[in-house]
Amino acid sequence: MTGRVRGRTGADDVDLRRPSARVVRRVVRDPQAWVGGVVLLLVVVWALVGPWLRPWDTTYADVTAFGVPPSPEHWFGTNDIGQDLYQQVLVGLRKSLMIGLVAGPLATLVAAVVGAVAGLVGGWVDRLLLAGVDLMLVIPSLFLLILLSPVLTRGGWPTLAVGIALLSWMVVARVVRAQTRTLRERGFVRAARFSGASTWRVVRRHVWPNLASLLVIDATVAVGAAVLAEATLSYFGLGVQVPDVSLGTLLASGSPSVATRPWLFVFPAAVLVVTVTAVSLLGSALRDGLDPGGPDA
Amino acid sequence: MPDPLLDVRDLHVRFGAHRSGEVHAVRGVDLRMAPGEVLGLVGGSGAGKSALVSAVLGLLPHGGTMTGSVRFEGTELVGLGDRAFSALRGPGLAVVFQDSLSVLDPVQRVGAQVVEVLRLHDRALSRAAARSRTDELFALVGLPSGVVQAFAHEVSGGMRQRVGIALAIACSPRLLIADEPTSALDVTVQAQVLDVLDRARQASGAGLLLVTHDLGVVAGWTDRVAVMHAGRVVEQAGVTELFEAPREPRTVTLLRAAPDPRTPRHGRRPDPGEPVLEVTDLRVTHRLDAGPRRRRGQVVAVDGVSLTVRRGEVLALVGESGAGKTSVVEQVFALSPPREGGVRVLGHDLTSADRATRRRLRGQAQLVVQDTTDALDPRMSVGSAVAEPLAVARVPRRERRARVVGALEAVGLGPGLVGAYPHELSGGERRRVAIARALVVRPTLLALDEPVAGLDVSVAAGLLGLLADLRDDLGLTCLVVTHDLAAVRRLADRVAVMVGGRVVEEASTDALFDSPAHPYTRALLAAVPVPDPRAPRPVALVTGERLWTAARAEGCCLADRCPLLAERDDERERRCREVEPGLVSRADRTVACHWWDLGPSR
Repeated sequence: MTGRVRGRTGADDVDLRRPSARVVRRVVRDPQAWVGGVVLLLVVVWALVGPWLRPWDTTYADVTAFGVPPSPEHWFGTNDIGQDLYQQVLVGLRKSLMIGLVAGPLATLVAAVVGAVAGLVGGWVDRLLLAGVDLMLVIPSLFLLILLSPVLTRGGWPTLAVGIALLSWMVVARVVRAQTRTLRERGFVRAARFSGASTWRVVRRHVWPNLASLLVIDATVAVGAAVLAEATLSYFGLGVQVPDVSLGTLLASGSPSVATRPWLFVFPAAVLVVTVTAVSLLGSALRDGLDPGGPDA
Repeated sequence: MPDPLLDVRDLHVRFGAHRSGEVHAVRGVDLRMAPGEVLGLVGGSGAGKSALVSAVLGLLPHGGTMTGSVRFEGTELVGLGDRAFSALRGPGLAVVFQDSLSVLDPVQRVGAQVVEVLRLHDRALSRAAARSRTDELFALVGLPSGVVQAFAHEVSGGMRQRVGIALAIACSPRLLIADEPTSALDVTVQAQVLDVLDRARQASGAGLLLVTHDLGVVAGWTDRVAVMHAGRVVEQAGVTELFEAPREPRTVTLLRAAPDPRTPRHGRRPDPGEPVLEVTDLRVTHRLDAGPRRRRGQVVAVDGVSLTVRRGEVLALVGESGAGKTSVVEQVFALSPPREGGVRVLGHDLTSADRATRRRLRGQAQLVVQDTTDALDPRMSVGSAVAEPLAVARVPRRERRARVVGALEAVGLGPGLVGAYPHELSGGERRRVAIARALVVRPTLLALDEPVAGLDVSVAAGLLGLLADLRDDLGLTCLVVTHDLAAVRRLADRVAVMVGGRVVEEASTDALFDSPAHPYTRALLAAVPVPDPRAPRPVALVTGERLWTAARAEGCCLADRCPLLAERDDERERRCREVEPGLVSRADRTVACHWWDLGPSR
């Protein structure tokens, strides 16, 4: 190659731009990203400002309306003890979102650390970490959560988020490890090692940036998964405990009366589906945008 | 002139109706080839050689268009339909690519793929007949018969190229196109493969279009040469005429940049000082794992190597791929205690050095790793890449910028590049940044692994000039690993030749080039292409390639491949096979060969 590549026009010009700029451009042009992003934004904004749109308080029980269907008074209806379901759903949504936003990225972080260190160091460290990953994979996480439930519920929702995160990082850790092992043979990683860089430095400066696409996608996908995991656990009575409310506990308490008072189940379920779908669409758009072989928008 | 085999007139190739505009890769090329002629097509990267070849083969990538005229034996190829073109490829046109690995199907035995091609073009051919024809073809290209049953990944690079040639000549094409067929190979293997190509061409009477950037190859193997630059053929002439009386300035530039291993060094070099690096009897083995717990055995990469590099001196480590050159430098510059043997860097024994000593040594001994286009992190700017060793050495942040700019200046790059990313750099610039990265800590000892491999001749010449300047200006002590003997001649004070994990000869550069003592050194030098059509054509005195050997070989590591094999009597033969020759020093030369030991050979 002669001369400067920069500014040169060529058939491969598109790929010569900064990867991040290309990714942003492609994600922005993806309708999935728009739909997912806008819906998620609306959900979050609604979760924050929604309570002020209605006069009812979360804890207030309307003694004049026990279990009434949706009406102009109570948009989502009320439950058996006269609580306004609209407010209940909002509280539950906030809790679910917080758990998801903490647990998802946390799971990815654990996966990124364990996978990168195992792949980069190799040897017995690799074998030990892999054995740990496999052990965690073998034990059904739901079973473990049931066992740990007394501990998890005592600490409130943050412990629950941590618990969910600690049980959902293993598969991604294996992927990160595999990718790191190929990176380990790349010239720049070897160059860094020969200039004396520590393992941790190589992980932070070389491995993570080069796996950014994978990690960002996984963090997004994990948010949706964590919200669902929380709902599942709470549905079985193992997650968020009364008097706390999450989408999962609402679904649990609403499900017995789905035939007689469907609104108690339908509204929390709809909000859950909309939220998780929006997050998934955003994750899918990110994955398409970051995949160099993907469609170039 | 008889009817031309290939007649290209005013050919234009354009790529991409992109937003960013189209690329005009070939701009009006006229080219004629007579039947049976060998035409060399040379030029730097981006000159349009590959685009021209793809156009002639009808294999332009999506988005590429060609206009003008390409006539092959009178048939117009521009605008020819896909089906008609396919019928022409094989019996008419055939191609040998740079690496046949990508051409060969990894899940099919290589023999079966040749059989498939034969039967595809001649439906009447029986399976048995196709098989015996395949055996003939493999014999013609010098492949042992067992290779028919091998998979592509099981054979060496040189053998793969031979399979590629067998595949190309399977249907007796009238025009054989070889696109950089030997660029990825060692010189000794290169000479063999090019000879095979020539033999195959003569056997089938085909014309050969040899695309290469190596003027030595052109001088040795072609009749006529076309020089390409910026999409045009700037000069076409007979090979002797072109080398002796080039008319175009572009040709002159190209010829001047061509490395010539015969040119002796200019200028006197300062006398070397105390030893900076001492390697004694180093052995490096790599484990072969077949899984996390199953061990398949081990490969002896370095088998008892001793080297000394003195202050201010440049030692070159040369040899074929797999000789263990890279393993030596990587073991040394990891600065970790060697498992077997001893390494002393600046007087510190690595076996007993503590962490603090190692950290100190890290700032003194730097390695520029082999550049496989990814020696720089694609996600890191040039500035932070060069600054990384400073961060490791805990140089205060505010001093770093000045040091980075200084290091970039030392390698001839402006401070404007600090914010650039690797993909914005050319191959030569990337190489310079990698060197700047090593220089930024101001090392005493610098090792360079294949510093000019894969670069255009002119870029490589520039880089060699830079390295020579750095050597002189900074008084660097260097260990250069390379298989490029022209680079060695230009840079090194002393040369150590490695074969099979051992050093077989060590001498001063001029002594080694002028009177090589070890048979392998002689073979290596004889195989180097020289950019002079009057010079004898490079020959491969050593045949075969070293493959990874699992066990330590008895006797001389060259015993099976030695050019002197034919001349040895039984007694000497036995000795070569069973007794490992020790290193013997005489004058300023050290050689490991029973023959040299027994007295100078004629």
